[in-house]
Amino acid sequence: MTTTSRWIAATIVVVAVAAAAVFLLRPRPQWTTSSPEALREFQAGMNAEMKLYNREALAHFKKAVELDPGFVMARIRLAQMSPGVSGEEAIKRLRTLLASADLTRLTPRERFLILYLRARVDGKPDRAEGLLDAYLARYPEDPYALNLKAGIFWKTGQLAKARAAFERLVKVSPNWVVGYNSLGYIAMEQGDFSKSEENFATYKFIAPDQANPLDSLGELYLLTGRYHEAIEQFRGAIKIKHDFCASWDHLAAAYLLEGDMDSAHGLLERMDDEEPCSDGWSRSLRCTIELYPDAMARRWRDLLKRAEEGGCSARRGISYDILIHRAAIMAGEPDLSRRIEDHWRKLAGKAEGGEMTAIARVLLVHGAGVRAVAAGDLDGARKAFRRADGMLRLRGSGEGLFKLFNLACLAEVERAAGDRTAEKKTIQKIRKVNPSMASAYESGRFRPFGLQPEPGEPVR
Amino acid sequence: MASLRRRQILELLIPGMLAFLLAGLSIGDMFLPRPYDGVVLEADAPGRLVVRRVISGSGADEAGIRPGDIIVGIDRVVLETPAHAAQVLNRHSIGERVSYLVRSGDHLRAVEVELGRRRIGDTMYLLAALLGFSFFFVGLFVLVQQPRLPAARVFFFMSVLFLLFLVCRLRPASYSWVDTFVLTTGTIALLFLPATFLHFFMIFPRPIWQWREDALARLVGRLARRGRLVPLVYGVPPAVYAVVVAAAHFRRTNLALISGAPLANWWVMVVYMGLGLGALAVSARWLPEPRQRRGAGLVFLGTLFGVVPFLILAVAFPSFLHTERFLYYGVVPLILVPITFAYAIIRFQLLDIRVILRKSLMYTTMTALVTAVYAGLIVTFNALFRGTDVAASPLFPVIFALAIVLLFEPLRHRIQEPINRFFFRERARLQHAMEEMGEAFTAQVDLTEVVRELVERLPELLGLRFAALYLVHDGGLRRVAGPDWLPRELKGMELFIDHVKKRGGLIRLEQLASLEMISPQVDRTDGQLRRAGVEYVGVLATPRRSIGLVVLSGTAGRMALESDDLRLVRGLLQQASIALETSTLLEERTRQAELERELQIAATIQQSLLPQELATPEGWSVAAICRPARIVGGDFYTELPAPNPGGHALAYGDVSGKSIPGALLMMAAHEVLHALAIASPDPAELLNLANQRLHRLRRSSTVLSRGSFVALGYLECSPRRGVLRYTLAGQPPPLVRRHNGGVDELRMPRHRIPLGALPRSGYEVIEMSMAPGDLLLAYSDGAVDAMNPDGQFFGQQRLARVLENAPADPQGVIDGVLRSIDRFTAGRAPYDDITLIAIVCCPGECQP
Repeated sequence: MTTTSRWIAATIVVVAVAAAAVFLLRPRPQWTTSSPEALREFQAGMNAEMKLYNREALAHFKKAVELDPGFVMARIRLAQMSPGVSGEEAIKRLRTLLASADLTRLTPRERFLILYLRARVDGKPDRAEGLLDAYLARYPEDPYALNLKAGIFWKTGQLAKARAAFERLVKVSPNWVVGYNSLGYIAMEQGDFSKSEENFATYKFIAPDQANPLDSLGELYLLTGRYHEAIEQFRGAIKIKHDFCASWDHLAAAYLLEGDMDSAHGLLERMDDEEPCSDGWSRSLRCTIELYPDAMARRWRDLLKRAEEGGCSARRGISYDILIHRAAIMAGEPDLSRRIEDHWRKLAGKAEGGEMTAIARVLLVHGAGVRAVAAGDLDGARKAFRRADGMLRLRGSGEGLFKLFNLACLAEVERAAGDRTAEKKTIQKIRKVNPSMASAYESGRFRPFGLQPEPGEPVR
Repeated sequence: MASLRRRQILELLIPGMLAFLLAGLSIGDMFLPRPYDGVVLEADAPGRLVVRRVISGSGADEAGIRPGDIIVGIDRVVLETPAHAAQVLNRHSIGERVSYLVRSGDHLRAVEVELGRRRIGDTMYLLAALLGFSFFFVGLFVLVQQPRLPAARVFFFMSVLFLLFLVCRLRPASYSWVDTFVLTTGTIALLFLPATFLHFFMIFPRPIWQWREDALARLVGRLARRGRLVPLVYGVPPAVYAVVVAAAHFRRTNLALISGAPLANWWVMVVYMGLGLGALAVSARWLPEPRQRRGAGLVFLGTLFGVVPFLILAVAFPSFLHTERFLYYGVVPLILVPITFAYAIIRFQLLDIRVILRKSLMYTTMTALVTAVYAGLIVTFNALFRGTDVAASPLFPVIFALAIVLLFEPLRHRIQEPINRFFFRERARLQHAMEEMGEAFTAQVDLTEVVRELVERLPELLGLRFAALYLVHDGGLRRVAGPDWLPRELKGMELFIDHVKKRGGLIRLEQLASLEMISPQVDRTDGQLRRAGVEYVGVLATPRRSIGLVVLSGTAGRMALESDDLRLVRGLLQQASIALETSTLLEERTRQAELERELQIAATIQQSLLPQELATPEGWSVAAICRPARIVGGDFYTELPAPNPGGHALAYGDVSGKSIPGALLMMAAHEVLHALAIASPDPAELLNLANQRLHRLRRSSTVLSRGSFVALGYLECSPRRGVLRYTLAGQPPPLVRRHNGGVDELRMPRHRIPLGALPRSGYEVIEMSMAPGDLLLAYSDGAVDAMNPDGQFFGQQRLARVLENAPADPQGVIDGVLRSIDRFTAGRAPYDDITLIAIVCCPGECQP
């Protein structure tokens, strides 16, 4: 054999091996469709959904179904996301669709997703979770399954497991923004604020045209007392998505916590002019802003009067309820406070045990503390506030700020009880999360009850 | 041989060229106009985009990205691999601003980076690339010159790996997949590089097992002979790599890499380098030949001081201490490796790269000199004409440039000599010695001296083990000098010699491979010579003829002769050929002169056999002449005792064959006739006896050929007046001019076969009457066979006509006939001897 022949033979062998390797190792399509265009559309839809661009995702899914009406997963995603369909009807349509799917010609991922959805739709969460675990055992790096599993962990309060699962998800699929968002909140809840910030920043980097990551980041700043940065993020979120009402709320809260009432009122004027959110939402925000000075100054009767005059009592909202409940108790209006407590009790009694139920239970405990303060039962108040603190998490700015507020209540009770050491420890806990709030408390600018005024401070 | 050589070169050249191409493309890729941020990534951080360096003034530099930062994302995309980043960047154009997500320590931040043109090479990389290419070209030249030499092949392989390592592995990496590919190639080169070092040092300058007797050397030799050394040496590094990577994969641990290789591989490399340097140190200390020892020592030092700082400062420091501050001091000493290799090769003639280096040195010096002269002229000119219009003229630089061009060639000649003296002393000495030997050859006429120089001094000068000389002899070649184990004779060498002649007169024995298939004789000879240790054959020949063959062994150090050496030997062989031919001619001329002198003596002896004066029988007048065509001839005439009292017998002969054999046979026939005639004067009996004797003589003689006969004529003038008896044995019939003027041809006897042709004979004697005045002319065939310039024979008719008009006296007849023949031949050298006998029956006295 000559050198040339040897080289030709070697080249042929190498090319053949490479071709075989490419063929065997080629990425298999994860979604079953006969149309490459439909597959591209579907993939684009999934990518958009992964980044929470739901409108775009919906358009892509529609297009995919148009291109291949037999594209099972595209039809399912479309059915899941279609607006304007009532929950029951949507579930009915989805169930029909899922039942008609021919699982034999689908990929393992598609089979799993359909069976999982069927179990969920049929109200069999245990079966769904079993399917998920089995699938994950076989395909531990499937981002869709990881996302589902991480969500379950988080929902069930298994923060460490949820965090690990989401971290795995973003490692497998680094541009899955929901993963970063969830990781941000989980880290926030765990008190790992730098990690939380990092995740939100990554989310913001991937989706800079979305309001959500800015709002999430703003929430973190709001909770941690970085009000100025929070304001910047919320403004950015509103700029991106004018009707992102949560950011209007958060922005108002940031102004209030920073003590910038002018900006808060300016915001209200802007809302009146631009009408980004519903009337109810605007009114609620107006109430919060207008009642805030009285609350800070602990002018309970004025506060209740202003609420009554401003029509604020017609609205129910957690932060509003907490404020009115405290004002009612401190001003000696038992009927009002009891009405609120009854409402909470009703929520807390629900068997499903959703988010609101959990919060309502905390509110009842916290409310008991407030009642104890008003009754002069400082020990009872301490116990209640401590218990509420144990139940509260730093999840988002809402629950997180409530937790800090509850701690401030506890600190003031401890102060009133003369237990300065306990008070310091409690303030230290607040400082670890939100140094601004701790400073405000220490300077006397922020005292929930005004039980023991600082020298020079008027006693009401 | 040509195909063998081509195959050997191709086997390494193809991968070598691919490597060269890859290195070239790698460098070319760096200059492609791609949008680039100015980040140079850490090569040993797979899965993360760790910034190793930021190009000053680049977009990344201005955005505050610093070494140690990690690029997390670019343009809304969190990155998985550098190739992913390249994909993202390629969606943008140069000048665009792109968002980057960067981790600096614990802090994650988003920055805007303006993309610029790709420009990641730096001076250090340029230096490394130049080094890599210089390695490659040195290795390539050595391979092309010495494809047979295992050390040359390993050296080339090592050069290719060096090229890949220096160009690919040290390449500043950015995001492109090309970077990943190139870096991986560089890593592979790095894995094998110490193996080539070890392999090379084990066989350079001589395989260590060929001259060492210790157990380790014997073990290595045994492995080498069984073909297991190379797989073992080259197999260990990739095996270690595979095991370490597999272990890390299964343990799910991050593999720490240093320049792309795991730490375990670095330990393997250290061990290999240690063993290799050890082997080289052993060669440098104990090799039997001082020249090879010095060469090995130099390469040892070069490798030690070149590679060790590189490993410490350019590999270990950046990898372990994360500092490239000393990179320069690590890369620069690396240049010692090719320099010391090259110097050792030039100075100690270890491999054949002298020519290229000689030229490089010369042209480098020339360039420096020319630049200096040009600069000097410009400076001087400006100083002289500063401020004038002349200084501003653009013509002057052009004139200076032209002057430099004109000066270039004379300068080159001037410079070449000192360079050769300085760098190539041994080479110059060899050249000088060869020139001296050549000059001695041209002045030499003593064959022994030429032979001695060729077989003793030539191998001494070239460092060969032996040389031998074969000279043409009887259609073959006979060894006249050289070792006894060489074949004494080489036969059927015409094709062999022609082949060597066509290829310049001196070739490697392997180059006869194509001829071996054509000629089994050449195949046999080739095999004999190879077994005897012959590596080169040179032909001694002049344009006129082939003189002989010089066979040469390889060098004592098993290094092939350089092309320069071969050129010198070719020239020397040409001069030796002339000297040998001159010497041979002189010898032949001497022999010829001796022969001529001997012939002259033979002619004198032969002449003395002819009768000084013929007896004059009563009533007859006789004249005779024998004129040989050459110095000695085959014709003769003689007087014999007549059978009848008062008679007069003459015999004239013409032996076949000329020169010495003819003369000898003539003398033999002469003596036989005389000896026999004493006892048997009867012509028939005499001729029969002479025939028998000559036939026997011819049969028993090794000198006389089968065609050696004696044509004889016998004439007897009878004492009875007017009666002439004759017989003929192969001679032409004599002519008789009757007294009335008519010319007759004598009757031929029935049996007229020349003497000695057949064992039996039956010669008869014819008697004829001659009237007074009748004239008989007997002649040998040389008379009628004389040829004129037109190729016509003188012939019997012309002879008869001459005889018609000839005078009456016999001598006059002979003279007349000879004159006519001479006229006819117009001075041409006669072809054959001429014998003429004229007999006249005297008019008065012839009467009864």
